[in-house]
Amino acid sequence: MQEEQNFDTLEVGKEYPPFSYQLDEGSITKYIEAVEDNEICAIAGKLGKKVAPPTIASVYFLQAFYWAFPNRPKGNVHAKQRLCFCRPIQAGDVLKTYLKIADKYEKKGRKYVLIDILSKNQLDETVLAGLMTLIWAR
Amino acid sequence: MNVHVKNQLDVGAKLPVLTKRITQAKINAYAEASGDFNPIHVDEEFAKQTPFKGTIAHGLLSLAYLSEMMLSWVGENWLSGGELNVTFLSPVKPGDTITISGHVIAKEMSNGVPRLRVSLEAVNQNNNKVVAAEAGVSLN
Repeated sequence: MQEEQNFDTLEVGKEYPPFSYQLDEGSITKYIEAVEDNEICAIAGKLGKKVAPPTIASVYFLQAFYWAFPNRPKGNVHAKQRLCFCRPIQAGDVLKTYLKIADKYEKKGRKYVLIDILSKNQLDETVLAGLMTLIWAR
Repeated sequence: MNVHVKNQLDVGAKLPVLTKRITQAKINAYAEASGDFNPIHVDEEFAKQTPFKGTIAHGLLSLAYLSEMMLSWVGENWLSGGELNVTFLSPVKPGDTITISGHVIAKEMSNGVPRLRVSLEAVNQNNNKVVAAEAGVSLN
């Protein structure tokens, strides 16, 4: 069993290998149904392509997070999330998500970990940038 | 950008309200779509043993609703230049009805393009704020 990735073991500045995922129409449809986003369907019709709700990228940065932190302690809390949507995401795109520990600090007895998120498509264009703030359990 | 938005660019203008009813089925569907099967979201027996006393929705599901509201308001501008800063304040649970509202707090020019800043919040049926957020979007 690997050592738990507790707060003290996390290195600010550490970057993790990219997590890749190819988006197909089925996964976009499934996501649209789950979040009940009818607006994106109207826009997709207007643009003539299967664009996804921009928040679909959150699925993949979360997967990237789970992949990078397989031994995280149980009980972490997702406290804040910043997302910048840079360009539309559509079926066929291959998203690569990069994570980096941006900062960590303690405040009022809580341990905060900030993780930079960057998602790029197959053309190396940034589709999403963000910052995830977690309260680390221990 | 649609005419509705062009007519409501002023500071203080209110966005159309969005209401969502949260059910365990919706939480399960989000887990399926996202691959996030954390038991706090999908295992009622496990979740009963936690401080939440039951399952809670994924925070990113609430975030998706906020994004939908902005997309509905500003159209495809949201897909290329939308920005969302969200603070998750309280858990959202099955049976909750959340109401998302917002208003324009600033209008700025950036490289000759108007950019709006919007304050958003989601409250549950008890009027408890569950999410606070600020959004930014450029209007081409």
